[in-house]
Amino acid sequence: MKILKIEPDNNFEEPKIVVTIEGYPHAQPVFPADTKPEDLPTLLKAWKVNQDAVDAENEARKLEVKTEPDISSLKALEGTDIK
Amino acid sequence: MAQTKIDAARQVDFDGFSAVRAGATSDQTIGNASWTTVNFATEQIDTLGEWSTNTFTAQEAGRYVAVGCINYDNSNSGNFYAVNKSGTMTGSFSSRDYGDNQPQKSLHFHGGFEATAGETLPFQTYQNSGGNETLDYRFTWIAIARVA
Repeated sequence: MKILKIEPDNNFEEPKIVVTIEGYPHAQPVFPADTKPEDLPTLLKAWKVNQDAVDAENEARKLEVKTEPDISSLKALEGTDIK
Repeated sequence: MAQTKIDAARQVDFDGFSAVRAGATSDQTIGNASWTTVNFATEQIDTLGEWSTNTFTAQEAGRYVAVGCINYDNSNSGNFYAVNKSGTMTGSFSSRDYGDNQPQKSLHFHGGFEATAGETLPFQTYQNSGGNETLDYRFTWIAIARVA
């Protein structure tokens, strides 16, 4: 796991940093700006474990086939004039 | 720059105009405290081929508007953002929910931006509920159009 970039993230009220990790262009972890340099590698390792699980879950979802409910018996009522 | 035309059928002719609409086909898990690109995987409209791999790439310099929606399912506390994180474009989109303990968080975003030709813009979201959260694909969509 290679850290490519660490930048301030000004989207928040509290000072934060956003980290770009090689191989993860789709997800960038955010940490408090006062995170200690010696703590960041451990935090990133934990983030990677979770992100890999998230990515696997999302990939599996893409393969799911969504089936439409069978409403043919209801469709047969189309045109019925209810008195 | 293409100009607005009315065709023979008296319809606005969008030929040559930038217009994108994309949606999602499956739910997406969003990790805690990470800017994550939203998976708008299905193009419904893409007149200039500007939408690819969940990213908008402007074919022409100009001003654009974007509107869209994402919906977090069964979320509770935490802050939720639907926004483009940064980028060099002028303008931004943001929608923020401050964790009101309501289970559904529908975040609508809208805004304008200026882009140079070839500039790219991924649309990302962020949540810090403390755990992973799920976006409901049925309410995930984005539309972009060039206006000047």
